[in-house]
Amino acid sequence: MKSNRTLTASEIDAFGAELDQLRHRTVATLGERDATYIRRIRTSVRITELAGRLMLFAGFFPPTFILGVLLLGVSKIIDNMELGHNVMHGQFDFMNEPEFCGKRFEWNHACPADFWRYTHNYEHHTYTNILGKDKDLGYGLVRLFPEQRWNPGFLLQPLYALLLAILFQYGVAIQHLKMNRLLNGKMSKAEFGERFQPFWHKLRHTSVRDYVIFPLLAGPHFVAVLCGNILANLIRNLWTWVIIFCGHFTKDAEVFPQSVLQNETRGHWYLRQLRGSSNLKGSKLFHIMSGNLSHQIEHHLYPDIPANRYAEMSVEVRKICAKYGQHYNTGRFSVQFASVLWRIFRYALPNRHQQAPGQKQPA
Amino acid sequence: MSNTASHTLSFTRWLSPLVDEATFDFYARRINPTWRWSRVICRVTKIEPVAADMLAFTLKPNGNWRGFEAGQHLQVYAEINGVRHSRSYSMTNTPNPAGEIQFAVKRVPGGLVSNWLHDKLKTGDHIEIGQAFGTQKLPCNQPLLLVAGGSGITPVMSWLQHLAHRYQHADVVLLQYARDAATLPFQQQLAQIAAKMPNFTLQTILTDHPGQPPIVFDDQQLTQRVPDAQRRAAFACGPSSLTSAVRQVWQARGYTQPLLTEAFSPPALPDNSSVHPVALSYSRSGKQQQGSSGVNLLQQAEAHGLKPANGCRMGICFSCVCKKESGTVTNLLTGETSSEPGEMIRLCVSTPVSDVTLDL
Repeated sequence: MKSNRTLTASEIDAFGAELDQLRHRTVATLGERDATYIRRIRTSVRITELAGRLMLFAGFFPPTFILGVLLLGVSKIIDNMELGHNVMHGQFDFMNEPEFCGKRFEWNHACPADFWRYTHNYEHHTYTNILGKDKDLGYGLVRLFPEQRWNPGFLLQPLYALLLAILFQYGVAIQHLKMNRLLNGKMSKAEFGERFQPFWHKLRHTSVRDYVIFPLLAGPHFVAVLCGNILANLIRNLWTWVIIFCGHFTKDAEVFPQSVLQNETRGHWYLRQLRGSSNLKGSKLFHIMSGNLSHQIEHHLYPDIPANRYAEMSVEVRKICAKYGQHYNTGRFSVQFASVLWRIFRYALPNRHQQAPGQKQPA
Repeated sequence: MSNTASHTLSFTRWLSPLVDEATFDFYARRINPTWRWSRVICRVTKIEPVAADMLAFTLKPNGNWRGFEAGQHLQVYAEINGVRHSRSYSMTNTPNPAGEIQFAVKRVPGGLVSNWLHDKLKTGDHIEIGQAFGTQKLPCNQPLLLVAGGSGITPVMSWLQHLAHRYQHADVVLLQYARDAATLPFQQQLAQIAAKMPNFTLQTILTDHPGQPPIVFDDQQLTQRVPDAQRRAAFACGPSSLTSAVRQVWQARGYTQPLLTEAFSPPALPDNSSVHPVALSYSRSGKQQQGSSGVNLLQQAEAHGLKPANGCRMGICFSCVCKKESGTVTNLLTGETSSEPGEMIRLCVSTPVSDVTLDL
């Protein structure tokens, strides 16, 4: 079980200052190495996509079909995670290169990049693990912490979670539509229509490409390409769901009440990011395939620093955490994911005593 | 060549449901290094010295280039240590059947891009540029006085070639300033222009002489060199000290003929430790406002009635990222200042150090 030393106000400031210094040291060395890295990632996205699509054009012949599905799935995963997610955070804005400009980047995903930049970059990263503010906490479908109020609807949440995983790319997109606000009358139909437009365009564009144009190009292998593309999207959906749920809902992850936002200092903000996030141990390939969200702690401390730096930064972050007696939440993928599944099943049921969320800032 | 490239351009419309620009460029550049969806990539066809510290680069752009007019400028992009830098240079030639562009670069001591262009860029290499911009037009139907200091000669070269081609008998005086004979650019090319234009006079002024203060433009010099200045429309281009001296003489003499000036050197930076007033320009909305170096650009833009996109207001979410077209800013998170034109900055954690122009 974890333990966190209670820090005084000046210790929290010092903790924040040390993390700031690590930021400065890293930012000062950004350059060629990072530019080369992100270009290699882009190359791997393109090559796996091309190879995957070509293999699927060969039809249902099992060796090429299976390999084609896997390659296309891998391509979409790297495009969404290590390329898209990181570039859209502005991590590579330092390059001044339009192709890697965070504000303009568009990914191979049903969610329009502008939606993501709002719900993820702004809402999730600013209000990480704050109840009622961070919509990523169960996506409004799943209860993961005892501090969240229970209702009988949650009894079926293992099923919702599975459905969310299967349709994750649509779930992520729909999050920004704020349908609950339409249903309870807080949003006008006109405003909803405005939000719906870009979603509809992106949905149509990605669906037509994967489910109409590429199958048609395959001629007699129409059905094979259609099925292959559906499976590749499914693989991407399941994998991204798993990695994202491992980021903030593991056993030792914490949630916070909205009151922490009052007078939150930079040190407090860092502390909240640390306590709300969890890392996954793994190989270099695993880190790339998870978009370096396996370094979720470093990502939340430094969302704007190129993800290829997180591995080396994590050594320093861990030392700083140890110095201030703060738990560094990391573990094997299987263990962390099992604890997420446990939460999904456990908190489908009510707790014996409703736990009120903590009243004050982390200390 | 430009034909092939415009072919790929019409292809792009049909390809857009299938591939995006980034994917198209990824493959197209591997087939032909100048092929792109919309970006302008050029092959360097010729590099020639035009003074001891100045090189002229001739480029052949791909079909995405929309052409230019005499006196316009272009952005040249150079990726140095993973960062794409951009600098504006003036075209030194005129539109021509070969579709070539020429620009000239003076080596600036310590200058990142000028030194890279001088030392690294070779004939046959490829380089990206932006579309031509700038709308200054010289009158062609009246006598002209051109004043050029150092690399300020570059747009003048373009004008003169335009005149030599279209208005051979134009009455033109060029006052050309340089430190010494070695750094006096384009002498050969100017001699060729003089051979074509019977009413063209070139007057060179070398400013640096050992043991003497440098020679500068003033009223007396103008009287001596160009006694009929009053009847001439004028264009001065060079360091800000030269252009402002010309403007002062023009005002003092009460001349009514048009005077255009273009300064190449940026004004000196104030001490950035103290809070001082700066001019903030918002290019998209065409506003200019008085601002302060002590407040972040997001708050100032909002105070000036603009509504830039924003989110966390603490440098995390990148919602307020905006292109800074010119000027120097301090990043409050890193404490670093940067003057790179065209860089993307987060308004909420950037304060202006100098006058700043934003794409808002």
